Amino acid sequence: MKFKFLKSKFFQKGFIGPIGDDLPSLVPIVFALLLFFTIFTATMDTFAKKNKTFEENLSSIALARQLRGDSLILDYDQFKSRCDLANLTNYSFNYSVAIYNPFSQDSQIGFNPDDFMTEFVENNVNSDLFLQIPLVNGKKFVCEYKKPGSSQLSINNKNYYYRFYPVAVSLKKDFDGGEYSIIVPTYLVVLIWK
Amino acid sequence: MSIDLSKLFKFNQTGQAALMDSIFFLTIVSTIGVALFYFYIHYGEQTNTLITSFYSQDFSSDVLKVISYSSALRGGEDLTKFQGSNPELDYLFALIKEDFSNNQKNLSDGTIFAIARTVSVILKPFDNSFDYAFYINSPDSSNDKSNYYFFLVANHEIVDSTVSRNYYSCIVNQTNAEKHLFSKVGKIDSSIAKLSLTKKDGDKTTNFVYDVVLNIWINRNIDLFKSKSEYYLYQSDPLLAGNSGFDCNKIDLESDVPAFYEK
Repeated sequence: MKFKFLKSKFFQKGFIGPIGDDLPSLVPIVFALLLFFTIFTATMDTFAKKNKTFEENLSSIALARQLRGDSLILDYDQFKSRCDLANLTNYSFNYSVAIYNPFSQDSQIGFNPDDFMTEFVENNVNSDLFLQIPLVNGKKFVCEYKKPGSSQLSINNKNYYYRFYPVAVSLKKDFDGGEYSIIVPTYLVVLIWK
Repeated sequence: MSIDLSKLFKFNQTGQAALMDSIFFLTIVSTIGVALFYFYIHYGEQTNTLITSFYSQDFSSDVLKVISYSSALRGGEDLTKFQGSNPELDYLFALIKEDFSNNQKNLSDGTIFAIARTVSVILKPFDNSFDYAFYINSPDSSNDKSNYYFFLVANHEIVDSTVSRNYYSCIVNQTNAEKHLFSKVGKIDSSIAKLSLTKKDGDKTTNFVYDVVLNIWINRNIDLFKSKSEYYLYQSDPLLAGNSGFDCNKIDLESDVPAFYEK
């Protein structure tokens, strides 16, 4: 019996108990679970955000296709009707669209995309950056849409991007000797913002 | 009093087994975590590239459409700045067709300037970032002669430590010379349209179908017309040093009346 007792002591070294013996194994298990769920959550979050971005990009391309048609804009009414149709679609972003005025004085200074942002924000009636027909005091080729509940576009807005598309616009221009119908190459400016 | 040693021994072993199992579990979960992390980093890269290509394709095809719709002054002056009277207006492609019916070798100076100006206006938003080539060539390569009717290149070059934008109208002397030119610029976005040109010889009318091509690439600030041997000591360059296969004139679009620079 003494021998058995000694033997039992020998086998008791390091033995805490049935539950106590399993405690060290809980540490790696808990760490593994934490690691897995952290990465899983981050991945699902990225997955959702990127999918949303793709959907927005595709929608913005579809919007531009709808507005420019076959890249020829015959008059203001055609542009306006395309704009009204586009505004009926419930896009997940805000947009401001205009046609650059190729007769603009600004065209000589150099191209700066932020000029468009400034123009969209200030809506300066005296500016000739955006095309209007007639070329002076005419109807501006501008189309804007703001989601319900969205804040106003401001200069400090950081979440925006541009797309530019070539278009040809038919208009009448006065030269000495008369009025001529011409088709001028210019581009459609699409500002997507949130 | 007896103690069941076998049970004690089992508890000891069970503790070690549980620890090993947990380490295995940690290893498996770490592997899954690495796979998820890889997915996290790389998800959507191809989709992003595809969506960008939609925009590029739309843009390229629209450029050719707008060129075909646009009006131009016959002398190649800037239509937006023209102040004279009774302007001679026509469609740009009509000018090309008219020139071809008169002369199947090359376009008139006025038409060259009109094309250069129109394309530069259309690509203005990307003027600092992109270079391009606009050319008209016959897809018929049955003979060894160059089959280019018109070749325009807009390129950024470093001259005296300054980057300048230059426009060239070129005569292509060598078949496939453009392949050597475009091999220097990297990835190209290209759009092609068909143009039917007619030649009249008395009562006989012959139709030719040409390709109108627009190639756009990211600006690299290099002189495209230097042969490789001048750049890289490339000894077996099929183009001889100093002969790039192009005979080019530089166009000045800044002046009111466009002209070629002196050679």
